[in-house]
Amino acid sequence: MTQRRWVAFVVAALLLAGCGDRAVRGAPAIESPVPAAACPPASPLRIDARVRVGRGAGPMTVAGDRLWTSRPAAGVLVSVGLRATPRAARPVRIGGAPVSLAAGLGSIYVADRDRDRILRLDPVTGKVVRLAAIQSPVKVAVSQAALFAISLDDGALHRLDPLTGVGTPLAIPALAPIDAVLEGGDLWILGGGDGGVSPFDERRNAFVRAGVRMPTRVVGAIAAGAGAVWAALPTARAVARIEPQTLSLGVLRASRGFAPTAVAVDGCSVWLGDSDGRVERIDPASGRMLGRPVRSGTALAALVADRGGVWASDPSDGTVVRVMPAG
Amino acid sequence: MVGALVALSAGLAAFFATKITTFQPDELGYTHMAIALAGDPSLRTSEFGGSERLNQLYPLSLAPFYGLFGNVTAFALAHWWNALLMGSAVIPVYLLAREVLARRSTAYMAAAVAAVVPWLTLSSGQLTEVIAYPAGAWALFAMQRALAAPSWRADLLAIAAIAVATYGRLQLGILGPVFVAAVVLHELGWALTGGAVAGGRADALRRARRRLLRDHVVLAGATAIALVVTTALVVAGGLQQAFGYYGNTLGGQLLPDGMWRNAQANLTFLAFGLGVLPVAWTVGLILESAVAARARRVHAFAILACLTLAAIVITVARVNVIFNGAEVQERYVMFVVPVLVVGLLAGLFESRRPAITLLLGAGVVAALVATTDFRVIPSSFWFLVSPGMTAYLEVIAPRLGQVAAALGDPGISRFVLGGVAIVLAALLLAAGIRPGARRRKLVTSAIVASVFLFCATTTVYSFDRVVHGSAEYKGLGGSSVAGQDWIDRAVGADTPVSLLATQIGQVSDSREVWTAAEFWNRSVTAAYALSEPATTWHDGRFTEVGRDGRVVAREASRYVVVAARALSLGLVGGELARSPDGELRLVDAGGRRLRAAWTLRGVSDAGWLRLQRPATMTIAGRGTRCSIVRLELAVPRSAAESRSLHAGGGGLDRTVVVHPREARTVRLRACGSGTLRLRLAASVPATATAVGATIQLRSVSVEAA
Repeated sequence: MTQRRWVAFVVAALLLAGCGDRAVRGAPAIESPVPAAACPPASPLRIDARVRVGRGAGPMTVAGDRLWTSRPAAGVLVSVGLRATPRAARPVRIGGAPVSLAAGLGSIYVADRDRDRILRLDPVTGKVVRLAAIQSPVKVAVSQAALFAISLDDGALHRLDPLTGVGTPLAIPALAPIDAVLEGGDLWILGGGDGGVSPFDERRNAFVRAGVRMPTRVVGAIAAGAGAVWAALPTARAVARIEPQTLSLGVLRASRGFAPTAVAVDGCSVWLGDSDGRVERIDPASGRMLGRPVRSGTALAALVADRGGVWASDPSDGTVVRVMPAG
Repeated sequence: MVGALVALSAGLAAFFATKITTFQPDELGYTHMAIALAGDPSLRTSEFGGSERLNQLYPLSLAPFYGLFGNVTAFALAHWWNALLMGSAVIPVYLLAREVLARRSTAYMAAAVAAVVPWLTLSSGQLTEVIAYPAGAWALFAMQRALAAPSWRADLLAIAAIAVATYGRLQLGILGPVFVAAVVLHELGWALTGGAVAGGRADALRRARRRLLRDHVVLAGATAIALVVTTALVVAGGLQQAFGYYGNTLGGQLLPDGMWRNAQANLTFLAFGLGVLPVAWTVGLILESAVAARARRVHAFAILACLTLAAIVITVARVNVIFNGAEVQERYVMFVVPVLVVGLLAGLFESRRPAITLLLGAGVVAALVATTDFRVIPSSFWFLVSPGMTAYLEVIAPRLGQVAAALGDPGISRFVLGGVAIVLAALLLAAGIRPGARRRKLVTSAIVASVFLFCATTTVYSFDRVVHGSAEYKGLGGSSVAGQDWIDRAVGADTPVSLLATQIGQVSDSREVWTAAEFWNRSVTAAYALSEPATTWHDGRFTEVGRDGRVVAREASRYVVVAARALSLGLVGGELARSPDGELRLVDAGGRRLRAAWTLRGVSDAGWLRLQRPATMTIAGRGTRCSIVRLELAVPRSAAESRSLHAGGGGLDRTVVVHPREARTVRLRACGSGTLRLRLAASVPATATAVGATIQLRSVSVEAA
């Protein structure tokens, strides 16, 4: 081959590579954590608010200026206004066992495990409608376009029309699916039977990537935020970080003696809670501890991040507690 | 030589296909139809959904095996038969190549490549594609013959071959319109390009018109009849019914969203399955022939290849998007493989400038590949139905990922890198076969040899994955078929048996267990479902257990199959046999109405206890007595906390703690008079994170104390 041909050859290849690179960049990139400069420095944590909602408070979700929580054993939903001094509104009795809440698309969606149904609640009028019938739903999640519900009994993911509840089930490649979060265009589903986390591609409407097995069998909960999926690992006293694109797994240590069973994430912090009612936070990038743990109550069921802090539900004394960085 | 290649192909397929020990869901229908056709020999059965399926050539070909032998033996013989059928496609590919290529030696090369194409993996399943593939290849050969050397006999043979292929697989009916369009385009196209050399364009067009009206008179007549019949069906509104099960493919959106992406992905993975070059050269040949074909037969082939490729890929993509969740299963498009294999040789040996032809085709293919966006999780199933795609995703894409990492950006699309690699390879090869290049013949031979080796390697790799699986997924040949016909053996294949199906584990697991009973045992003729959704292949009529313990299943036979770990009821009757995996048991109900010895209400189908409402167990009986209730209990392994179960009633007041990661079996002694009623209540700590996952009852059994 002459020199001129070789030059043409290489130029063509480089041109193609350049075009290709642009095509790839169209794909959603991993969202970087908020730059360190925008995050407050490490500081002690304090209890900012404590609201009584009734014994057995567990799952929570934040919708605009309201925090919603449920008491699965009592079949009750309670909302807490967040505008001024947080206050609980009248409970909404729905019956059944509301074990999961999700806010999105202008509604609160509820998985009622014992009555095999998905409910939609209008947060303004308080009206509750039965949206779909699903066997033993244990988790609901809302994306910008769809409602997802997980059936523990069928081992199936239901992608539902948020308005009509119509949808078809899809088998989940995991044993006893119990939890799910949305991150990076995927719905990440935790298999309670095998401790694996499987990504469901929302755009392709299929499981197109193999999942990740957690380093320990016990997984407290999973959460999404700061461009990653996080799993609380109580027996390892750590939290696992899954990179959505590469599926690589990193482990960040909790503080000494802290066995996280709950996790919530915002741009600046990974919030961890343990069943003794303690809350702590660590830096999502470095894993550095951001202050000492604080006791939010006598027990802790779930965490949800909100406005730089985190809400913790305490089923024992029936409160929800907001923990904020001091200052 | 061709015989040896058929033997090679069939032998390769048989080596792996005969190791298969499991089945795909579609096989249930085709094997049942084969049994029906064996019992009542005809060209078509209306049983087992046969009235909805016109394509019954494959079940008809299996009928002798299923007529003479039991399901297990017939299954084994069918896989030998599959290997032979798939291997036999070498013959029509060779004949097609002989029609297109000037030299016999190049036709042998085409036959050799056809003998090792990755889609031989289809012989692992009892699916219609197995017979439709060779039938389609025969149709393509007949069509090429009729195009290049028209006569009424050739037309008749082509129409008959298309009809047989359509009987094999309905989608191949598209070859009918393709044939008509190819005849017209070839005659006119040849007149306007290559054929115009001798007497000018006007004269060539006159000759083309004469050939169309005189030599293709049979085709013209058949086309007219087909148009009249189709119009009548459309007017009468019966076109969709005429197509039976597949009739709804004629409805829906004409060009649904995602169709082109799906077609592109299909073509991309076909290309990867064949080592890209056959597709590149076929596309290049089509482009070259549109301007100036070298010979009439080559022009005819280019037209045939173009229309066949477009028609099959686009119709399949449309159906995929509308009905199959936009999946890419190459088994639906592999019928174009004979055309692509011959296209490789035609591009190399029959085009005016093979190097230019390659560059033209490679440019198109590289663009298609680079902009493809599709993936699945590789598994044995995917290797069976889409070996090109799965081999790419499991083998090639990770290597391209290493290249991306070496380039400093691991996020670069593997498809883009694949497109770049295709361009680079095409440039190199084009340099090697350009006019005047040294050792051009050697390079040409090396190209064919490398395609052969690539296909053979991909085929062996894919077959190995189909049969043996990998560390990540199970193969389809890992188990044993011995004893799978346990129901037929226990009561005889002619004795009707009903399934009383409850959910066993998760829905997908349950479906595997119940359909296996139906697949291997022809005595199973009906199914009743006690859980939702039904997980049987037979229409599972939903039924329930009355308060008095009677099962509402009036037409159930004396012999009933129930889950060995049935959670909702224990059936009265003597056990005759158990399935090899121990999941199912065959019960002789004694010809009386089905009755439950005990029932359990208030648990989910998979055995999960509710949070609030206790489950109730009712044990039928008379007089004062005691029963032993065995419960196998489990908590999700990943749960952080233990759960507890309280059992009350029947003299019981016992709490059992169940820890995660330990399935626990408890033995409860319940006593009382008359019907015993027990309450089983689960409690979950308030701090439990997976609060919805209570306690799962894995199995329940009751016996007299």
